[in-house]
Formats: sequence, structure tokens, C-alpha cells
Amino acid sequence: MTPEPSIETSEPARELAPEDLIVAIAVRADRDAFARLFQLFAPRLKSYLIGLGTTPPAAEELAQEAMLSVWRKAAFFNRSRAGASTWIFTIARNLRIDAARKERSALAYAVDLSEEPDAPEQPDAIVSGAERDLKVREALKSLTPDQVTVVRMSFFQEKPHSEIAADLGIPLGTVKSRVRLAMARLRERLEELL
Amino acid sequence: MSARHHPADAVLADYAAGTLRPGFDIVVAAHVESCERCRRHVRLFEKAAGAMMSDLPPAEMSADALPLMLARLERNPPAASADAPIAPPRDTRSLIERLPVKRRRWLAPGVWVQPIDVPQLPGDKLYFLRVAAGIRGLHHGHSGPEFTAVVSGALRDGKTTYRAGDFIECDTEVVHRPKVLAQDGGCLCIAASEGSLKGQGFLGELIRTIAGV
Repeated sequence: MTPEPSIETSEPARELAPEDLIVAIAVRADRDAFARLFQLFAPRLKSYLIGLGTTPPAAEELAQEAMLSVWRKAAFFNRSRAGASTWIFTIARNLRIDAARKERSALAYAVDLSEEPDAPEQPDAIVSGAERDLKVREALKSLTPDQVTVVRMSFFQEKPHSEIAADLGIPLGTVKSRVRLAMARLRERLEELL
Repeated sequence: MSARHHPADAVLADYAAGTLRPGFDIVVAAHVESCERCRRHVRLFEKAAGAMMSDLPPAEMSADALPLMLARLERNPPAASADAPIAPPRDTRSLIERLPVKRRRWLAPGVWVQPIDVPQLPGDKLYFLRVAAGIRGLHHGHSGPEFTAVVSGALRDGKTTYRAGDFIECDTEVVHRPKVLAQDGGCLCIAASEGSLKGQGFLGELIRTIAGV
């Protein structure tokens, strides 16, 4: 369980978990909390976008747009549905798709997954973002290093399997079966853990 | 209604990561919208991608990135809480109903195609296919992958029957001749394909000529 953010006591923003920073923005438009969140996530969003082939200036612009959405939509964040990193990731993902193909994300991701509760709610279902991220890491540990590599490439590089095959120096069929196996294994472990 | 044929984990993972080819993501979305199991799986992959994103090595930001950002906050106040009626009413129509479509075109007896008007890569196709009951499709292969989701009705391909909600992925190795089952009325599918279908025989050529699919 994560303790509720102590809103009245104006705890220094750097002590708070990312989820608490978002709540601070929602509750009192806390600029310090936002600045801290920006320092945590903007450089990683930029890194994510560059990995997918966005130029560095455009990646920085998109990262800024994503963080502005975080500021504006903070009230819609629900930590029982998604951790901060997942919520911010999906915002950036949709902006990236829209930047390339106008408004497509509004169709392809209209099923707003962040607005739906996960499975039946447990009384103690509120897992902190840090705990959740820890479990994701635990799930990744059950994969072989090769499998982790293809999972990372699938998530963060918009490369066809043929290019991944060339990069890794292995046949295309091997890449395909490796991706299939790795993703199936990852999903099974996540289902057990989350 | 619960689908029995789902996208592979790798497809759902790419969908969650936002790296599916434009148009193909719409077909996956059509399935995911009606499939509780796949929504759950997509959420799991989003959590994995989110956690991995926060582990990426940070890129260097411009020196004035944060001050510029803070200045923009002034002009963009946070939206009111989720309970406040500030958002426009949500469009409650299904994805299928909301997709912008072009003119419906006759393809062959009992077969209509309706291209969907969303941005795609050159040469790719995204379309609704309406096939009347009992019609057997053309024997065809694929020059690239093809995603299909059954919206209504049912079709049989070989020994497998696909019903509303089911998802079908074909790649270049597949040559098939799906048949629409008569007892369920006509069949409506949404499909995305990369490259053209390779029809066999002159009817295949005819379809390619007429429809450009």
C-alpha cells in the first residue's frame, strides 16, 4: 500500500513517488511537483521517441507535449488503474501516433484502457507504481537475455522483424518465433504477478 | 459474445507499444474493443512498456526545456477533476460505427468492399468487406500480412469457423478460400492488408482491377 500523499504538509516534491506528484498536480496545480515529474520523465520520453525514429528536436517537442498533457489531465489519473510510468507512456504513445498520422490514436486507442478498472477490484488492489514496476522487472527476469532483447526491440524500435533479424544476425523465422515466445512468456508471468 | 480467435501476444504487445503498422492497429482495436481477455492482456503489455520506458537511459534535454515548459503551464491550466462535466459527451458509438468510410463498391456478386478513410502507408489497404450468405471467396494468397476481424456473421476457412469478434492473421504463406456461412446471414469483416492480394485465376485479377485490394 502506498500512503496517501500528505497534501497539507507540503512535503518536498522530490520525496514523493511519481503517482503522488501527479496527484499533487491534480489537487493543487503544484508546479514543483510538475517540475520534478518533468525531470524524471521528459528525458526518458525523449529517449523512447528517438528510439522509434523521431528526430531529437521533434522528440523533445513531443516529450514536452506529453508532459503538458500530464499537467492538464492529472485529475483523470487513477493510480488503481495504472502506475505513473504506464499512464505517461500511453499519453506519449498516442501523441506520437497522432503526430505521424493525424488523430489516428483517437480511433485505434479509443478503447481508453486507462479508464477501465483492472480485473475485479480487490480491497487492497492499490499497488504503488514502484511495486508494479518491480513486478514487471521480476517478470522480465524470467525471460532469457535474448528474449529481453527482442521484447525491448519490439516495444522501443519500430523495426520490421526482417531488420531485427539483420541486426542480430539470425534468420527471420528465428526472430519471429523468438518474439512470439518471449511475448507469450512475458504475458503469462505478468498475469501471475499483477 | 466471446471471441475464440485472438491476436497473438506479439501482436497485442505491438499494439500496446503503438508500433503496429497504421491501419493494422485499427483492426486490432476492433477486436480488442469487443474482447475483454485481450483488453486485459493489452493493459499488461502497457504496464511492461511503461516500466521499461521509465528505465530507458535519459536523453539530454535542451538547457531551457524546463523553464519553457513551466512558462507553458500558465497558459494551460489543469482540467477540472474527472467528476466535473467539462469534457464533451463521450462518443459512445463503437469503433466500427465511428470509422470514416469511403463509397461502398461492388466487387463481385454478393461481395462489397468499403475502403476506410484513415492515413496509411502507400499500398496498404484498410476496408470493410461485406459478403452475402453462402458466397465463397476467391482462392487467394497474400503478398504481405493481412489482419481481419469478423464484425458480424461467420465465415469458414478450411476447418475453422470464425464468428463475430474473432481475429484472423494471415501471412504470405497462407493461400485460402474462405466461405461465408449461410445460416448466419451475411458477413461483415474489417481487414487491413499490406501489398495486394494475389488472386488466383482471372477472377482474382478482376477483383484486383476493380477494387485495388
